[in-house]
Amino acid sequence: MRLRLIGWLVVAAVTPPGTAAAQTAPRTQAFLGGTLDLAYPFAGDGEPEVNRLIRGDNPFDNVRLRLFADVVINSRWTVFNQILIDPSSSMGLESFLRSYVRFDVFKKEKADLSLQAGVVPTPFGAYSPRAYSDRNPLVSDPLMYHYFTTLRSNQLPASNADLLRHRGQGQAADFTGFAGGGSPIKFSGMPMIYDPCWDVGVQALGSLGRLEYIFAVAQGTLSAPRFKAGDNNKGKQISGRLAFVPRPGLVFGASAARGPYLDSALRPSLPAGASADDYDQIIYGFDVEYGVRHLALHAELAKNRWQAPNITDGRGGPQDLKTLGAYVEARYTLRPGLFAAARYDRLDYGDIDDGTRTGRTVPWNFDVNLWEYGVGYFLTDRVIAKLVRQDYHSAGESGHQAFWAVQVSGSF
Amino acid sequence: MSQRAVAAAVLLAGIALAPAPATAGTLTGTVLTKPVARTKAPPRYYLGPYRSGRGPSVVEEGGPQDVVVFVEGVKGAFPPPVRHAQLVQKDERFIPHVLAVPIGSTVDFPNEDDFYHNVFSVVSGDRFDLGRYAKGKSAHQTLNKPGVVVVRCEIHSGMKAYILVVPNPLFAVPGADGAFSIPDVPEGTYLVKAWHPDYGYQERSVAVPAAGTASVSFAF
Repeated sequence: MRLRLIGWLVVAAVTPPGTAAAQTAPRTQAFLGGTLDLAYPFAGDGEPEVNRLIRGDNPFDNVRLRLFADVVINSRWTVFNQILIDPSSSMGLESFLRSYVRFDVFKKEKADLSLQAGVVPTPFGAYSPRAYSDRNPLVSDPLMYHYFTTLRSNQLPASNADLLRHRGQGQAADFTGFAGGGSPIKFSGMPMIYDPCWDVGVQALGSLGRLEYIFAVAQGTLSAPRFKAGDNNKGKQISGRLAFVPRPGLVFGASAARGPYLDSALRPSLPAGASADDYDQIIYGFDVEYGVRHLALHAELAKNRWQAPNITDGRGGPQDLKTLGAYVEARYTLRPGLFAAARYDRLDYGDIDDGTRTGRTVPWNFDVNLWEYGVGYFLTDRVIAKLVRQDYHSAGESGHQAFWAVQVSGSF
Repeated sequence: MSQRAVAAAVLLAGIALAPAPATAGTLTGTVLTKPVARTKAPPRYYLGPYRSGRGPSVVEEGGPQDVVVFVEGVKGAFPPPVRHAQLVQKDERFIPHVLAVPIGSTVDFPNEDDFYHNVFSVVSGDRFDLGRYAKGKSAHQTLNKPGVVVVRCEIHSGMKAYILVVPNPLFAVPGADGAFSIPDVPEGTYLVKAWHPDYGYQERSVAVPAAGTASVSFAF
């Protein structure tokens, strides 16, 4: 069976791709381009810390340059490369590199299949294609795609009380972490899904009638992607998304992923007989997209749980750490070249026993919600100026932060 | 048909078939430019059959049919044409790549793809945004400012077309062989311009006779 599949793929690789056969076969050609974002946040009662990403960068940084170099080798093979240059980040450029190859197996009128391998796009939800500044009507990313919880892949909370003691600290760059063992390095926690960093893996994607699909195997997980070859545990994440397009402008998507997220180096700190591969991130979600005339709507909801060592329910049994993320985003063209956009975004954390043996339960992290809204104006067809306001509310001590910001984003 | 109606029909036919005024000549010429086969940039993200097309990955652009030749400085009033021009959205392209219309013209933008397009223009000329609409539907825009209108699709960033809004109906788009002809040009000396989307404008001063033909050539 496996040999037949390999043979079929080899035949597919050397034969013309269906409808594309009638076209002139393109010569190897490179497409260079990029986006340049200039931003300035007018920090009011708080810096835009809520938007800080793992590598110390931030979508509100003054200068961010993203370069693309896509190479069409022939009508079937394409290599995609992109890199983000942000002077505010202290990490090496290699950590901002995304590079993958796509092979178009076939393209028919009603169906197609492509394979991708390398540092591949996030195969969950519908936000990843809109994360670029020229496609994002606002400036930040939705919370569930970047906001850090306190949980880490390379460090363990010793107990419920240890986890609860650090509530709200995941977003801090100097998060000291837990007492349950693991890396002593100060670092951020894990988000539900970390789209700014892609994972090394392979993907099969395409369409069948009104269905679109993507299935992926990756070495990391959505919350702890591994952008370099070399896994931190023996398990792999399986993920996928199915979308149904009943008519143009309306898309319903459903995504799911499961995979071990803990670093194998934590084994000495794990309960007896347990390995890092025994603890999965399990996440599923739904997305909808609707567009009509001058209105575009996007909404997503994702329900996530991490199987976590040392976290117990009131009876001493294992307790998963649950998170619910959701956002609704609207963009409306007010007049030619001028649009308004708004996103309401929230993360709710599941309750766990507070460890006081009183039976009381509390959310394992502080719930947060965020409004971002503003207007954008096309200075030219390739340059957009945005004025946005962000209002962040946390149930924790950080309370409320709000600021205005401007961003001028050009694509070339 | 009454006698009066027959007489009116004959009169109208006579007007339509009558030769151009004796004080008008024809401007002919050629445009030299070679089309270039361009590979379309590959989509970075898979968008699905109902959001992106299966159109050709290689297109030819920049040939003589992408050039507009027009006459400037012609005196007189030129009412906008009643008939609408068309810029079709098909296979994730605008067809034609370059469209020329006299000032005041209305352009229809029919969508012939299975997915939405959102035609807009924010570069020079009239700014407009026609919103998203599906296959079989159309929207239109009247263009009242002379110059180059760069047309894009808000959903498909690779789609681009140009509309050149010219000051009068005395213009031509050459054929594939580069030949063009502009009839009924009143006698006089005019600035004749040719515009190419990649190379911009070229201009020549041309004396058009009261009858007969004047020639002019452009090479891009």
